[in-house]
Amino acid sequence: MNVLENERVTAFVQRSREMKYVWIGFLFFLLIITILLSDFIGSVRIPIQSLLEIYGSQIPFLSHFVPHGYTLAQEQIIVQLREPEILGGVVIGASLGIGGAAIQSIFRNPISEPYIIGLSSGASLGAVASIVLGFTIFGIYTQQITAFVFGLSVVFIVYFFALKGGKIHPTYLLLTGVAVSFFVSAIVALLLFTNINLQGEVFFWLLGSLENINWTVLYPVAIVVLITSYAIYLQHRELDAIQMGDMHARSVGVNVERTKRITIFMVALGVSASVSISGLIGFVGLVMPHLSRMLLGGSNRHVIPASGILGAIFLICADDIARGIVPGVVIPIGIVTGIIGVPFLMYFMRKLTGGRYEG
Amino acid sequence: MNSRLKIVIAVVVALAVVLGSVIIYHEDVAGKVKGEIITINTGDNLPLKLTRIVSLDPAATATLYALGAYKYLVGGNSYDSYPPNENIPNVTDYPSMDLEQIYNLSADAVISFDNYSGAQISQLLNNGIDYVFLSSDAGVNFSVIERQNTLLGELTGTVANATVMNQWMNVSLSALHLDALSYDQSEYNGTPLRGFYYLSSFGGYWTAGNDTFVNSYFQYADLINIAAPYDNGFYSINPENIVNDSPQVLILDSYINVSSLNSSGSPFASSPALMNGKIYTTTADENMFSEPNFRDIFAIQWIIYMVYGQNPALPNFPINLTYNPNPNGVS
Repeated sequence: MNVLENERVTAFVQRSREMKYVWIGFLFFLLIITILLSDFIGSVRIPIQSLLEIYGSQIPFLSHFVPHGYTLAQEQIIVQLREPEILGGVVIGASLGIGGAAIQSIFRNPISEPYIIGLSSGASLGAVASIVLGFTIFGIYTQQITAFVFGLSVVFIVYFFALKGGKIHPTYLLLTGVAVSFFVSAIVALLLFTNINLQGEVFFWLLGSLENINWTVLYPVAIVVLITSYAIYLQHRELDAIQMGDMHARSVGVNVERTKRITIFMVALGVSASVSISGLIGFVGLVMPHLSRMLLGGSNRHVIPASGILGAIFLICADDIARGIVPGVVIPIGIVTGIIGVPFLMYFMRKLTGGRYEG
Repeated sequence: MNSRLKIVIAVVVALAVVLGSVIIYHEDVAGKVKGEIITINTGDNLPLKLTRIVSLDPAATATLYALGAYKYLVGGNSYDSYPPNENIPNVTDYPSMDLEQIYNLSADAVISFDNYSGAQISQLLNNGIDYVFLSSDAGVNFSVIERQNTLLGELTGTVANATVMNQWMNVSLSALHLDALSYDQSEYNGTPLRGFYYLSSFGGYWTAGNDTFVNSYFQYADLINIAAPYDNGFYSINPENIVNDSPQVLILDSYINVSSLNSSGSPFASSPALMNGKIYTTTADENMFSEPNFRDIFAIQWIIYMVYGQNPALPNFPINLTYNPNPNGVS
């Protein structure tokens, strides 16, 4: 390769990297637009002027200069109901998307997602146990806290069962996750069997919803997700190497076991916290990393943030549909993510993969 | 520290600050007097008179109307059937209550019989809205219904009407029971018939067991509820128990398909109720049978009329109402 060719390649790589940042910037812009538009959707119509005034009144120092032509009810609807729900969608969608990207890199398996390590079954057990057995130890947040603790606990159990000679083999971890999930799901079924009257309540938790998210629960979860997402992002180079195989990763100086341990812990922490306030929301952690790779290639430097942003956009849109189909009625979001998500994925797989998944 | 890392840290800090300021703001918005959870056990610490009530409980809507407090209702629900021609907006209550509609109606209280999530109730309370919980599950008998009437009377300043309503209920229950005993004596030599109340066929044979207001219907009508010995509350009974206890009277919810009773494998197929045609479907106003309130008196009157073929007399309802609370026309 001569000097000219070398410069061309360098320029191409540089341009390609810049384009990827432009893409991420565009996705972020799309996220902001989605958030703003979603604030209009609900069973009560709120005029745009009132909405803008309410926004203005929330900005420190600016609030004194903004007219207050809105009613208290409108302010409560926007500030107490829609904003935490939409921002909850951002936080949960981002944590599922980022968690999915990281888990798929570790397992080198395109059909893995954060729930595969026992997180969903553990969180279900916690939530169902608190509902069926009537735990009230943490007041009205008992269900969220037990879901979080059980989700995290089951991941630890899976991890330690899968640990062999101080090492984690992806296939072994995957199979252990599936096996323990089945076991825990059987306990969930047993609990439900003992009190069939509570199946309705549990049903809605298992299908997920952003409806019950308020500021009190969102604040700690948002901080956990922010920190864990950043920690996962910091591992992007190591995860890129692990994607190529453990041996390759070791050959380029990556501490494979440490990276896996940190990543799994961070994913478990972030996704458990998210799931604890929303219930189980499927599809996001599985599909958004794929969509990110289709748009931005395979490097986790771009895939991780893009998966987070796409997960957030997707979940907010799904929530808008869940809230908007029948005015006043919120359909469980898991139903919407499945119904709109699958055709969406099939379309993008055909249009954008360019044969990357073939052969 | 490289420049990219600095940018990432700056973004994280900025997001945390934005989130923090929004949260501080929200606490300011919500920083008013918190609402209360009110039940019949709340005692003397009741709030001032409620004047903007959302009722997600059809039983409470009917009671408030009868008490003369309907003018304080700003929202009802789609299951309300009494009073007819309701002129207030319906608030969505399933699978959860629609808080947007409730806030928009500037409600000062929400009445419900349902166990909504703690997060939703917490949202109401934080926004200064009281949550009045009127149970309809196990443990609710006529004594509890009367206490619920009194509570609604106290909350709406109509306690005098609640008192006369409760007196009317007590007198009516005594009269109905005496009449039922007398009819049973003349028709069946005083041996109570075995009855079964088939509430729903969704996923089993749902019925009312012991310690329910529906079980009280049986007691006042001098019938034996075959479901009472097996469980408390509303539950799905094992069909073997139905076959074993062979009910002589079947009371069906209007959603039950009568032809299904005779189908192969039905536990009712060989029951005396089916053989003798003692099957009665509650058609006039489903809520009168399935909701715990003063109109249950008319439900008992209807059951006695259907089972014994005789019409027990009731004292006149003591409050003058535009709409007749008894849609069965059994007077």
